[in-house]
Amino acid sequence: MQESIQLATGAGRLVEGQLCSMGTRHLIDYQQLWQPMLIEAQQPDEGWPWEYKLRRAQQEERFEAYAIEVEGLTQGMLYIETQWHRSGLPQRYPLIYVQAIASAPWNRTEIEDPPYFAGVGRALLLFARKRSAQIGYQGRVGLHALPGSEGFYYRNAMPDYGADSEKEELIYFEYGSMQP
Amino acid sequence: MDDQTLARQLAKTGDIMDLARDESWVRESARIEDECGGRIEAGLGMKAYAQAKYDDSICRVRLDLRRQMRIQSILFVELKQWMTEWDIGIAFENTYTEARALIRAHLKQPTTELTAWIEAVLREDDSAQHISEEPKPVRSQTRAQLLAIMTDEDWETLAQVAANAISESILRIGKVEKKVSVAA
Repeated sequence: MQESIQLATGAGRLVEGQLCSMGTRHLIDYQQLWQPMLIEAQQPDEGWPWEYKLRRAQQEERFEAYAIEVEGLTQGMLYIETQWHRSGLPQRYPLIYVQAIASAPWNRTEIEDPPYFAGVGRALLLFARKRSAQIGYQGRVGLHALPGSEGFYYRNAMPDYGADSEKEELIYFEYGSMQP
Repeated sequence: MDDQTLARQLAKTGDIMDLARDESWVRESARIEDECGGRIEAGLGMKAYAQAKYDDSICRVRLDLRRQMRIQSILFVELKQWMTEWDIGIAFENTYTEARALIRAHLKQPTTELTAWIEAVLREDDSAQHISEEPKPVRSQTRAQLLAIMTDEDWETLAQVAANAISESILRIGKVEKKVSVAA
């Protein structure tokens, strides 16, 4: 699987990239480039078991992992569950649940200003909706945003279902069926 | 990402991912992420990470990380292009992954020549950052640098990885065909 995409550089130039199934080389980018930054800065990273996520995606049909690769490096990763999750609505529609979505550290303004590339998150989110439509879920996608990331989902018109007491009080967002 | 836009795109081209190649949509994405500080992370079990990750101590490693990331990006773009020309088909993914690992290992202990080239290519990249069409004579030496980095042992390793990948693929076909034939 490979989708062509474009991202904008911090200087405003558009560059070509690929959104593809996550492979070993993306995991190694994470381990060699993303993670050292956190370790050297004495950051806890227990919450980022991408090795485990990649393994599950390779072994179990219901999990899928994707990466965005631009200029030779992994710029973002997406890990979704495609069968067991249901909508927060009373109708309990099946949906794609985003288990994890992340952009490379150098694409975050608070770490690198201007960011190396912008648009990673929105491209991954758009792809999650496409997968949902492909599977027959009409574009329904759900996720729990991390503290500080909620603004991104508000700006992408993703409906907010409030803090989820069963999921670390994280805000649950859910796109419904794609309606014109 | 309003539904009307997605529905319009679906009606127009049949694929909403075409938006990810549309300049105005891509620029809007960049604006949105800029407004949100580039923070897009979601998922369970990462809350502690999210709360800790923007600690000020990260500034100490930022420059070094950025340098590593940029030089790897320059080398890997050329490496991928070069290896695509090798025409090794199904063995590409494994061989390319191994080649990246070998190059990263060499970058940990660079020769004097490699260090000098890295400094020069990054300087050139800095000065040409806003002009994408600017000629980059130092960067044009990237393939030659890759050749200089790779040792005879590296070539042996890559050849072995490629051979293994092809052999595993053929053996897998054999197993699948056998199963189908038995089932029939």
